[in-house]
Amino acid sequence: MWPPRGPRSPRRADRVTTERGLGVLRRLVLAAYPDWFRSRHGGDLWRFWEMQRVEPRYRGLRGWLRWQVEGAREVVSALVMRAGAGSGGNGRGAGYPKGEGMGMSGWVMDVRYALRTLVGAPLFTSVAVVTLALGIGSTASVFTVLDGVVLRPLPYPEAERLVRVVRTLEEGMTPKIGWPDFEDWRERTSSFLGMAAYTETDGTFEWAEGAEVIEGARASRDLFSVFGVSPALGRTFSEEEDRLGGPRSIVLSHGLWVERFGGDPDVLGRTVPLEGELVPVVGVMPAGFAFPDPADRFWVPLQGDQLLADVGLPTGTRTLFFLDVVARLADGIEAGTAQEALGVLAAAVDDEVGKQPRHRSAPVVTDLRESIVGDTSGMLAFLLAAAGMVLLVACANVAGLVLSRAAVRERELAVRTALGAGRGRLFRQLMAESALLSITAGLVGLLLALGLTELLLAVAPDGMPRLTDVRMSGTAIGFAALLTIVSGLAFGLTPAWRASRTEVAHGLTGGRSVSAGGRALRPQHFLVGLQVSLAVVLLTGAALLVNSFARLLGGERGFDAESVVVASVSPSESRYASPEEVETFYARLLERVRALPGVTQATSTWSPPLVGNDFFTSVNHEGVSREEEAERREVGTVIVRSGYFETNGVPLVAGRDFDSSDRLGEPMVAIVNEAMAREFWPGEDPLGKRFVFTGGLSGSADSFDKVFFPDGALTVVGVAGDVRRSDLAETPGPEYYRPHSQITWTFQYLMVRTAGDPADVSASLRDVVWSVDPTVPVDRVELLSARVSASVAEPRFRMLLLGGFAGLTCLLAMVGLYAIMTLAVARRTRELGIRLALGASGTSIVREVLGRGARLVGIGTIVGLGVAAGASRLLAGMLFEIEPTDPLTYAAVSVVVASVAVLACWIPARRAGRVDPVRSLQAE
Amino acid sequence: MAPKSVGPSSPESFLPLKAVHFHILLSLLDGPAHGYGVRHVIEERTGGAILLAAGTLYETLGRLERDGLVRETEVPDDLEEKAGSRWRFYEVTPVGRTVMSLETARLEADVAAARAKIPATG
Repeated sequence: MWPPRGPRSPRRADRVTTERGLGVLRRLVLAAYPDWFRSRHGGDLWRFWEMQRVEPRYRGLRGWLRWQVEGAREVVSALVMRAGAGSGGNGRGAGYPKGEGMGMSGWVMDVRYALRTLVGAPLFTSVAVVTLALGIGSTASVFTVLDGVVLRPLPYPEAERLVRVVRTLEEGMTPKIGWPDFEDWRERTSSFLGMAAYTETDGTFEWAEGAEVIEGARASRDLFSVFGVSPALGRTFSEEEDRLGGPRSIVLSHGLWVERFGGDPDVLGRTVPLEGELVPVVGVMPAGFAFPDPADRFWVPLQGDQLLADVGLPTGTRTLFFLDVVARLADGIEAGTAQEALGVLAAAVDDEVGKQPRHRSAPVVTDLRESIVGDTSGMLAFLLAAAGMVLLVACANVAGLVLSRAAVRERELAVRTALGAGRGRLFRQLMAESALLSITAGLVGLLLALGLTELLLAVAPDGMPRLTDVRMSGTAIGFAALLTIVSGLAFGLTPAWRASRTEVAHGLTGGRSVSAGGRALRPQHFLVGLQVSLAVVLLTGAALLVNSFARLLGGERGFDAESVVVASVSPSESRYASPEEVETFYARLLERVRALPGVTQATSTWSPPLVGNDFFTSVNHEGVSREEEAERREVGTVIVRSGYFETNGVPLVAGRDFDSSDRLGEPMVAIVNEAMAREFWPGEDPLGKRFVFTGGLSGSADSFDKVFFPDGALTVVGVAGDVRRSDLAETPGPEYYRPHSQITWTFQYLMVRTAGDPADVSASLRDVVWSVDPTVPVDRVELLSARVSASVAEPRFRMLLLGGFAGLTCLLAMVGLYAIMTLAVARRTRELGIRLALGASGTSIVREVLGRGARLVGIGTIVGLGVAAGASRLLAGMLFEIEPTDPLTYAAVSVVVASVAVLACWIPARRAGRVDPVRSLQAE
Repeated sequence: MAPKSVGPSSPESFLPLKAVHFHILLSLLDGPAHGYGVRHVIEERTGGAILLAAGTLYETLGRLERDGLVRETEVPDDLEEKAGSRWRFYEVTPVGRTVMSLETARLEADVAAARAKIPATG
């Protein structure tokens, strides 16, 4: 029957379907077709589908599915047609006439045209590329560090199964584990494939050319198998070697093997002179293995019982906590389950040996990587967010540039539209330009990131874990690529969309009106306002960090770090076996040091401020009950010599310093700090008061030996000022000092105060030590002030980075502000010319322009300050003695932004006031 | 945008016609029609065996147009109100008719050869 009357039901045929009614797929199909096909058949296709859609075949759910499936097929064939048209063939299979008559694929043409356009505007292109590259580069470099430190798995097989076991996470209690506890857990647990313990140590190696202190670790024999790393040469420790009295052995790191043995493959069996003994080398680890610390260069058997004996404690002492424990989870067991099981096991062991409540273990099992990375992940994530803001500002900046440029290109775009370029074509064209820009910027940014990453590593605090693992990886490059794509879309999409809708008439007539609409520039105004806000947010954060850092450095430390030299001295224990020998050595040494020119004070101690070696013991009042005893915290313990307080500039607020009357065998004395005096004897005079060690029930397995917890009480003979010993930001806790004459180790730190240049003393210290005994290694000679500086390395790092980002965004925002003010003034040239011709003063115009700029900056600043007030809460943990909403800081930031903004607006404003009325009216 | 004609080529050069081309030309032999109309006719004639998708249809129409076998035409007066002037209508050109008659003859010959070997079943 002819002509076809269409579907049977007239009512349905009359129904008008909107674009939405035919579904998304059909719109996609249209978009997928080449332009020439769409312009020729688009209308018919749409009407076709309208009629097709209401056929009985497409009714109901099955019909709907059929509709979608067929739509998908049509998308594919549309794309095929497009691809076929692009191949430019003219065989029978090829499509018919191509659009725009150039005979080339649409995409390639777009890219070539975009390239020509960009190269033809070198200033715009280079500014855009550099701006974007800065944003991409900074973000990518921070991410690279984040990837290496936090994200990348540890370099061991199945590293996600590795965990760290600590005794407890309770405040004031050490997380380290005791040797007998470790042995019992290891033997009785089924939650782990393997469990290993270690403790860091130094060894004095008496090489032929001189003694050297090298860092290493004492490790239980299964440390290497837990990590799943086999030695490159030889073997690791045997069970015999790990036992009390077992034979000596040592495993070398790859680096030490190369350095000392030239990489000799026959090194096994050769010996090294360690601590006065010749220890045979049994194995060499492969390059790259360095646990627990990257600086560790050798491993010796842990020999836990031997270690206890070395410090004079009986075998089986459970209350000396000095071990770090790592383990590999058994198959199918997760950390949480293992923790529960271990908790039950540990409680059972504690019950069996009758442990005091304070010494009981509440084991915590954590992922090893997390335990290594710690808080760093939070800080790096924070810095990444800040870098991301830089990128955002850069994108806003470039978007503004692109928008302004599109306005300039109105004429060109209008002509092209009039000649038949479709909206889609123009849109694709402009997106191609944005794509080229962002790809170029991405490549430049990647190069920049390589350099910036090196810079970051250079200023990063030494304490940051896994810095050696940081390098540009595939992940980082992929991230940079992602940034490139996202930023290209971010700054390109809106301008391209707008520009592709250029009205032909408007564009061709130049579109100039007397009062050039502020409306036209509204998106650029918004973008600049956005940039100002973000800059303000970052500036506020940076200002807070700077403020905090200054307070940290300038705050009450409790000791004077200026002109003090610190050096570690480690006479070997075999040569100086008795306390008397140790004391004689140090007495002689200090006498000679004091004789050095420029030296005003000299002393020694086991724990100088900020150097480490924190030591805690549990003490309590005399005759205190068991219940009170159970709650007592561990108190800091510092072993010093007379003269320590003077050398360090720590005031003695009451009583006296240690002196020669405080000898071994005499009643024990102690000097407490103010915090301990307040806590133990509030409101009383602590001088003459006594306190005792609380080691446990006498007679039980927990009883302690004289060295650490002698019987008898300590008498307070002096009170010293509080010292921030381990962290400048921490309030000092209670601690007490004991004299080296009553408790001593061979290893001590020299502390020397000088009147002149401390560098002179540093240089001669080694010689002085060697003049007393040439076999004693002297190590870590440094200025105490350098330690202070190193201790604030992390806050400094944060401050520098955030400050750098803030400065960058401020610069970009101001450049953006300058650009838009200049553009706005340029568009208003006629109007300004007229006003000036009619008698307005140049100054009033300048004021008005400045006023417009001020409004823009003002709004941006207010929004920025508001966001900063909310976001700065994130900084709360990093701030020292300053509130995140410190009003002075915010005020200062506002002033800075305002001044810089005035600077940016100044030139355009002046230009506005100086417009020549005659010339402006002539310009057309 | 007017299609370029490919240039003089003999009607024989279009043989054998692809099935889709054949059916479209066949539908248009009755008179001018728009795209959807062609689809409808083919569906009815083949009992639903051949259902042309919009893209295939218009792509083919375009090729046939380029090759000179069909051309665009005015909306037939009697359909002016019903279909409206928004549709493009196509009609067969004389060349197209010639090609169709040649193709039909070829198909007849092929069918006859087959029929000689396979008797028609009732």
